[in-house]
Amino acid sequence: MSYTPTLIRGFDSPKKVVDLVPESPRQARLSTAGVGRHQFIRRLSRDPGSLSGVALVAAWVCIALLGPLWVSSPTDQNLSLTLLPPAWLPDGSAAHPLGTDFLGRDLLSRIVYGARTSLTVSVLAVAGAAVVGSLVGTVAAAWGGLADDLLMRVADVQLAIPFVLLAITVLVLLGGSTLNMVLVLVLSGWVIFARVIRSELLHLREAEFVLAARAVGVSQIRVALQHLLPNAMGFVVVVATLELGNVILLESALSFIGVGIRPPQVSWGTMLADGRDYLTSAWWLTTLPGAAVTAAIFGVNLAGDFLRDFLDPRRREF
Amino acid sequence: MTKFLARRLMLSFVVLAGVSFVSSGMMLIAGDPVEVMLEGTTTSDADKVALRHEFGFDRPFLVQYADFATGALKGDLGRSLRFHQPALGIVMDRLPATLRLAVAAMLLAVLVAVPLGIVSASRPNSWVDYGARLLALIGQSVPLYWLGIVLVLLFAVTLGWFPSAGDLDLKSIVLPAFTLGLYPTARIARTLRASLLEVLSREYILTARGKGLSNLTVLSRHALRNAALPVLTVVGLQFGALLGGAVVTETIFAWPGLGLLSVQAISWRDLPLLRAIVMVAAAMLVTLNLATDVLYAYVDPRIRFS
Amino acid sequence: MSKPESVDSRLTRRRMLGRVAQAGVGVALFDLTAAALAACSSSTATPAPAGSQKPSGPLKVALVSEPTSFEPSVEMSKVTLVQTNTMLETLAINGADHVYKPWLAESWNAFSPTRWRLKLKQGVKFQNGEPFNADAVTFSANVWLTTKGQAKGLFNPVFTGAEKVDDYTVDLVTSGPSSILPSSLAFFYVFPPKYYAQVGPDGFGAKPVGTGPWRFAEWTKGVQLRVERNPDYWGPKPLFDEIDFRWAPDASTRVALLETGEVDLIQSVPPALVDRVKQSAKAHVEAVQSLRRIYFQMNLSDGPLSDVRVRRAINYAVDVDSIIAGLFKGQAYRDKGFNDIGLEGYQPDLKPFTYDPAQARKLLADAGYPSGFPVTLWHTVGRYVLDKEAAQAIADQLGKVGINVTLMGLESAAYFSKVNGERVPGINLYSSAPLFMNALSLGLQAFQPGRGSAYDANDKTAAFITAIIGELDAQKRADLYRQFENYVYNDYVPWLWAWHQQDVYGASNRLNWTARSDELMEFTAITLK
Repeated sequence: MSYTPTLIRGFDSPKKVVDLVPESPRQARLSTAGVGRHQFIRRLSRDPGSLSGVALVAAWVCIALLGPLWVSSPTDQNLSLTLLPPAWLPDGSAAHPLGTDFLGRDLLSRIVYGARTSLTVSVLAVAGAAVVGSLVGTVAAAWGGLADDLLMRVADVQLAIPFVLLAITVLVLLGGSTLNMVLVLVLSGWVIFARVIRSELLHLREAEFVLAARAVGVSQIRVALQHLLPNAMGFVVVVATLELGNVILLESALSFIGVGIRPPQVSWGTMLADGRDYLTSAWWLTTLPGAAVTAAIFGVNLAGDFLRDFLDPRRREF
Repeated sequence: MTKFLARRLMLSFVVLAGVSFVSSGMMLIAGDPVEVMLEGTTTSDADKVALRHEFGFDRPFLVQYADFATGALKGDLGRSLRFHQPALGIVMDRLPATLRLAVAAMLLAVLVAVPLGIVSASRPNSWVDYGARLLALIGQSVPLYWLGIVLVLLFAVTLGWFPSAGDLDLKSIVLPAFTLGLYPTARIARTLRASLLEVLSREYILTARGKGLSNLTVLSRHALRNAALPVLTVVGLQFGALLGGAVVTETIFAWPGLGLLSVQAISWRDLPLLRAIVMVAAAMLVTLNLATDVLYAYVDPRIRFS
Repeated sequence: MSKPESVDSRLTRRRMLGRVAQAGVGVALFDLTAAALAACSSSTATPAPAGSQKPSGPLKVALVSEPTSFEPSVEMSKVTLVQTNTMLETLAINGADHVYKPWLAESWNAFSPTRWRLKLKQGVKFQNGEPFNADAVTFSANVWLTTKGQAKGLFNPVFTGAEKVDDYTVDLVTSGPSSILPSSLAFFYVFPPKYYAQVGPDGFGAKPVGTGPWRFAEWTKGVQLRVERNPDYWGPKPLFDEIDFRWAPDASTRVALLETGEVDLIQSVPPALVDRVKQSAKAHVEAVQSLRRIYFQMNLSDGPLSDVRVRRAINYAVDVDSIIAGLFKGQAYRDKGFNDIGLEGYQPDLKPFTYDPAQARKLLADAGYPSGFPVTLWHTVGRYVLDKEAAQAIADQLGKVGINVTLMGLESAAYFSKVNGERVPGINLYSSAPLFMNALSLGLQAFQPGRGSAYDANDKTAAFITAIIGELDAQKRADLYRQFENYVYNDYVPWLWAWHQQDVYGASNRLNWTARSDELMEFTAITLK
């Protein structure tokens, strides 16, 4: 489920409700918000909601990076210990704190390794989408004319196809490897980056300081590289954080349908799909990974909201 | 205005043409359609070649595409490999179910989100506001498939209030609609809140009040109408996203709509059927975008009078 | 515009918004409560009062998938046949004990080495009034021989034509002695000639007409199939006047339908959900050992797999019993040989392979692979019970003796297209449930040269098959089956032997219903509790 930020839509529709043309590079970068790391930390510490969001994300990153040091292998099967409940329930065992699945594999280690896979894939995908999208958006804004038209039409065509169907078809036909999954997710995300960058660049192009630089004789490319792109970076970060939540969701949904990451790789979505039959008999197989996915997305969304508020209150949705 | 409309119409047509090309292109990687039709039963190679020729699968891609494109203009979207019938008919059979689900989900979303957004905006940063925002954020973070399964377990199996699957009576639509509608609810509530807050802080509101206009007038004539615009855009966009969410929802609830059909078509490798579904879905999305654009343009005097 | 004023306006604004909000929330709450109340109070289907003999409504059944056609030569999957069998009938019928008996054909005998003479039942009519007689049978035989559907080639090794002798006698002509003809009659569905000729296979598949106890009422695509009682049926009157079939590919959906009482019977309950059905107040489990077996056939042109020691090693390396106990929770049965209980030439004393990884490693070393080798394992996804999970377990166990498995899973349609269409390397999962009640069904599928599914056909297996088909003497034939099985199981070892699945159905507590082992569901013998 991808979306376009409010009001940034197409070639012809009006751009924003609030139109602020920045007057200096500094203002363009920071709008009317705070001024850098200090302000960032101060504002963060005053907002318990966002703080917990950032903490949650940091926690998941730690788990993904360091978790494997403390948990056993996620693919060790033990057919005599299948469907063990979590340790705090009667039949549970401390050796498997969160229980085991239908092949006797430890759930805790699978959630940790699932975090690694899902987060790695998602971050790579968002990064890839950001790079591709920014490139496309920059080209569209800088060259304008036919290139712009063509690129935006391609984006429209892609948006007109329900993305889930496109993703499922591609993955089914090409196979559900990690690489293919990242490629599909990049495909899902580049459009929004392209549109945001393009819109921002078109906007900034009219800013006085840019016009001033051009009047003085600075070349178009230098203007682009030195002034326009860095200013747009802030928005890329904002959009990236927001997209991350969507991408994690999309990856797990695709794995759930069955076209996602295949065994022996562990992914949260696949764990949910596999555990679905056991919803009443072994609820931990779905509830715990489901909670993990929700927590990760929630944290990312919360942190993303804060980032957006901080970097660009014009686009505030909250 | 007319120029604007004409331009948008032409763009829509171009987009649809692009969709038809891409979805036909997907069939290139899908393997032999004759194998799909025969489902692996033992048929001699000579028979397979004959079948391939009979259905025109041995022609070059562009020829087949041109065939499809011209047929599409007349309403023929190809033949399903599995059902041996015109694909458009099968799609149209299943479309109403998905539409009903999408409309129900949207209605539910709006019914819940509008009051929620208004409450939040009326008491910014209060406990109510925080609570509503938290709920909305959670609503945006919960995976659709998990939600659906949990709802079935709770309300169908344990409590028995609603059926767990299928589309047999009026009650059947409730759980699927709730599942599909949670994400749009959250989005719309958040957008409305932000939009209302923004509008309410603007100078012309204060001016209006300064002029002595009653609160109700202020609200109805100025605030809501201006706040409505971004919300309408989100509603329109969400409707399109609903088609994607319908895939998972219909799978869980065995809802006989296009979402379920599309997943089945892929697993059957019935790509012509999938292509027809994609074309219909794309047509609906494009029409919806067009309508939203028109509405938007109408409301924004800068465009209306250009 | 000074501060006090704006404070004022903010307060009033807030109050205004507050009132609107309250109204809005009130409306929303009211809507939701009304909906919930309406949902609570309306009734679900009430079962018939205990002890009454007449059911109060239709029998409702939830199956795994929706058919595309009810013409059995076009679509012959068991799921579809469950529904087709309510309306169409065959010349012979398979009993629950795996023995076939006369049905629409009252008797048959081998009139000559190339002719089987069938005597047909008299006084039977098709649901559209056409008479069941020799003309219908010869017409149907032609349909079977010339069909372009899934059954293409099915009956061609069985007979080559049919000739009417008199109104109720038909000769099935064979090219040579055909011992499988009698058992194949249990799959010989009869079609009404005039109607079929009129509408063709597609029309027939959408609206079938047969001689069965129910007749076609309505098929709402994607929703349900309704069949209603055939008032002119020649046999005993069934209890239910109407059966509603619906389709829910998702197992938890099917179980939920059973738990809420929305359906009375469901098929294919996976092991994970068996407890849920058992604990349900409204339903119980009916489980039976299935005739369906899962086996893993090997592509012998692959280097290591061409050595019989390696193939034996693979059988020793996999602990099938632990997979059955741990993964299937005991709900599967160890497989050996390729015959089945009640069929000709069945050898009850065959022993399954023991789990012996040491022996496996030794055999691998003997064959020249002391450190193992890589191999691909192809498997279906979601087509058979726990197929992909079991594949993971097998891969893990083979890995322990050094055989590194790459798993390739595909859903059903794509899987069979690929596996039947090309010779995939490595090991592939296959399944068989006898279509005709004899082991030759599996024999033809797995060992007949020229079939896409037969990866391990060779001259010896082909010879066995030909001999068995041509042997009309039952004793000698049973002997041949035994020799064939011994050759395959002891000398050739082309498979990894796995298990027979357990077919688990869910049935409402208001019904007395027994499950069959051949995946077909019987509705004529149901009674109410």
